[in-house]
Amino acid sequence: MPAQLAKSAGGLYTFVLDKYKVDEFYSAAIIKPIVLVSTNVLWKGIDATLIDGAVDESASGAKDISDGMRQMQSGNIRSYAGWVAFGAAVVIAFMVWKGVR
Amino acid sequence: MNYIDNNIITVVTFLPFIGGLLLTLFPRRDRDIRWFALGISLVTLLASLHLPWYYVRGQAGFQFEQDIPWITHPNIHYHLGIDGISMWLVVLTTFLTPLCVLISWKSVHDRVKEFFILMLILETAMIGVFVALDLFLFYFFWEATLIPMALIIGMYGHGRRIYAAVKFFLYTMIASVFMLASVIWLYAHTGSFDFVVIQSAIQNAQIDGFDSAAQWLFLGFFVAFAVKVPLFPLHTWLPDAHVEAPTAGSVLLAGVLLKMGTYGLLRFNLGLFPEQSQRNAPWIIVLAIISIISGALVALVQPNVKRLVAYTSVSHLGFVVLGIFSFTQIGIDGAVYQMLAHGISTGALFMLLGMIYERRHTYEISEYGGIATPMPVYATFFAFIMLSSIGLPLLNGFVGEFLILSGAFQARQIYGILAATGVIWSACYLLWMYQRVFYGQLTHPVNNNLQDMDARERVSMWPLAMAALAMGVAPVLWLHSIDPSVSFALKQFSGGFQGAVPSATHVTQALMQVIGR
Repeated sequence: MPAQLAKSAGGLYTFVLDKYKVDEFYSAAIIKPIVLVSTNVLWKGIDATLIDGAVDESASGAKDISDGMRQMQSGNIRSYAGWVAFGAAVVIAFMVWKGVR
Repeated sequence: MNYIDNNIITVVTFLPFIGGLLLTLFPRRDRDIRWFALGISLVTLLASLHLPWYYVRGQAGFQFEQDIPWITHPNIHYHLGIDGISMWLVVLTTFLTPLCVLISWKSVHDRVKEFFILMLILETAMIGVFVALDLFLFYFFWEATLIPMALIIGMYGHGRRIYAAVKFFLYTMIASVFMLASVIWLYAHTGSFDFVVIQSAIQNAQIDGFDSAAQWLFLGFFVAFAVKVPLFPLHTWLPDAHVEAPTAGSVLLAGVLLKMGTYGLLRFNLGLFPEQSQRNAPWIIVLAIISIISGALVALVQPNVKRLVAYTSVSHLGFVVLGIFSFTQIGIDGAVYQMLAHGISTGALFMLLGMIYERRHTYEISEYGGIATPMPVYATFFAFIMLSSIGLPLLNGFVGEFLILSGAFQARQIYGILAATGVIWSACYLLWMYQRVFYGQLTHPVNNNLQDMDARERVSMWPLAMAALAMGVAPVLWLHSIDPSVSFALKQFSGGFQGAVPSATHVTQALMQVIGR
């Protein structure tokens, strides 16, 4: 008897058997978009790329600048003398400029 | 009695530190070191219970005060004291520390001595933050928490521990420099670091140039606290620090260190700058709501269960900030309550995660599944604590969230509506995680042989489970002392909403109705 009923109802039977596909609809319409947006936009996009990117970038930026500055301190006395001369020139230029005005 | 009352805060604050100093003299016998650390933290807990026991409810201002000139120039005082808000945070700290010692019993086996020394020093610094009433002293303790915590993460953490420790340290350090600038400005214009003195000077408009500087001072304090809370978009240090930290580090980080941020917002931002707080509240509340929702959504999709719990902190602490900036009695009551509740539930969650990590050395959800079968006791504890974190009525999380949401609705309906979705999200991410970890088939054969919780682990979980239940069933025990302090803090807010503020009895009545009595 139930088998006959199922046969006669056809597609309607499987539809009812699948609980009107409510679960599938719910999964596709609500859960999937939330999970996708949370993963790709909120987590990987904003948190990991945007905010952490800025944080890490500022750290590596400071490191790069320091790496550049480090070159000044080479241990080479002649280059130090050059820097002293350069600094003195800047100071003199500044004083002259100030004095003129 | 009087002698004890005058010195009890100093004793509670520095007992762990003295314990740490004594530990340095210990021979490297790990067993003795663990027992000693447990003993000293238990003594501290006992000593701290003096505070709620002898606290005079309903008395305005600070109690158990101790004010000794420390350095004459600059004018720095050793000024400690507590009110109903900070008292419970102190007790939360002393309550969690012995449990952290217990949970680290076996998981820390290298450099055991250093670990417990760091932990005890950290306890002193954390308590100091909550009891300091001199801004210099406060700043000192505030920074002092960073060093032991960064070392605990960096020395005892997991894979990327150095990155996490440096990130944690720099993030918080850089932000607190802004607070230091504000503190120094206040000192320069008042000649005092004392919180009470500065507060009354501000209230009586005795500071030159305060009106033009106030917004910047407010922001200086706010940035330091917002990083600590952490408030979106300054929260990205937190998941890294939590995932890499050893269990005890995570427990103290989530349980206490985050509360330092919300405590600071409440004490200093609201306490010193009521006008600016109100003016800036709209965008701060927006950030809080973003924290609630975004933190929850990101938690939902984490494949790493510890990172998931870390993100739930972002969401839950967003609630606290929302409650504070609702400027309603009920909202701030709830915020303080939520701080305590979150310390208990999230601390317990991290302890439970630590237990499973000791057995399987992974936090990946995909490595588990069906482990309720080999570990029924563990699964039960986990379910209980998880429900308290979700905010099931009769457990601690519910009371805080309910009060905060009531406050948010009073402040503005849309705040309440948006924040209330956070409650739903918290059920989503935690229940889904629970399902994937504990239910279903055992997919990994190794999980078949998992040992259930042993006696030590049960001993460390029972107090937290009991506290979660007690705070859910009898919130009045805590709100009795929190409520008057909050209403005292709110007094200085002039204007319209004062009339709409419900009294302590309203709060109690509302809760009673909900609990069904």
